[in-house]
Amino acid sequence: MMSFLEMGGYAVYVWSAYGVTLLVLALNILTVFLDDSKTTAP
Amino acid sequence: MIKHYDSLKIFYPLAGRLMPWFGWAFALLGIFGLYWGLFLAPIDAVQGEAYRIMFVHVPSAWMSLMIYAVMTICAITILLRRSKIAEYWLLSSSSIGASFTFLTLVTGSLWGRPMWGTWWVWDARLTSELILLFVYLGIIALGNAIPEKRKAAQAVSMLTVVGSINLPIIKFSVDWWTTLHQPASIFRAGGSAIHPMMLTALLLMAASFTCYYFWLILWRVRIQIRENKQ
Repeated sequence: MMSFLEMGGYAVYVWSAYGVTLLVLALNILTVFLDDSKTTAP
Repeated sequence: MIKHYDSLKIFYPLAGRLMPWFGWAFALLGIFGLYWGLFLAPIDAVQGEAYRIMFVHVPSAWMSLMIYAVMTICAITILLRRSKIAEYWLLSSSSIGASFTFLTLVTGSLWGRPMWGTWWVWDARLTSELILLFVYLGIIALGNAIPEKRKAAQAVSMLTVVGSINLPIIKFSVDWWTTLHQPASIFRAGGSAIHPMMLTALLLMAASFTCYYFWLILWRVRIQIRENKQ
């Protein structure tokens, strides 16, 4: 498990790339969700 | 006018029914893609584990171009005839497109640092992708600057069509100029040049991101239809 997390010494780069991707995708979902709750169903 | 009203009446519930399918497909394909990319795909002979950044970088880059291509189709539709769905679709797409372009640049930078020894280089591929981000940001700013939706959509349409010149430049930049960025290895003559396990992970992530876009865009268009009615 530790060797998996270490990513052959590239941990900082690999996990930063995956982390920022998840963060940006999640923020987009959150934005739409908040917009949605502002409008009522027709 | 009746026709537009009807098309929205058909679109709204249809989009509502499709949304959960895209949402779940995004999540499931994403989980499979991450598992495939992080556990099943073998280590790269040259780049070691660092190459795994590819599984978020390349699908993001494809999405940044694909979303712009979809926006260009919406833009041409709007310039030729009136279509509320195309207007909403166009205006709602730009922030998602900008997000993927941003991710392409950031994950590329995180990949370039250990592999090329630099965060950034002004080569044709990187520079044209950066220009794409500026075009997206310009489109967002223009759309927000005009309060009336229809006029905003028309102005944005013109900017989108002009900006589409950049798409073939990004795609073929690696062939036309000498770039530090590698040329295409998936969509190329003679078949793709990567390990089948790597290709599977890549395609799963790309499918997941595509579903993500359609999930959010249908959701956003529905919100705009509701806002317009109020």
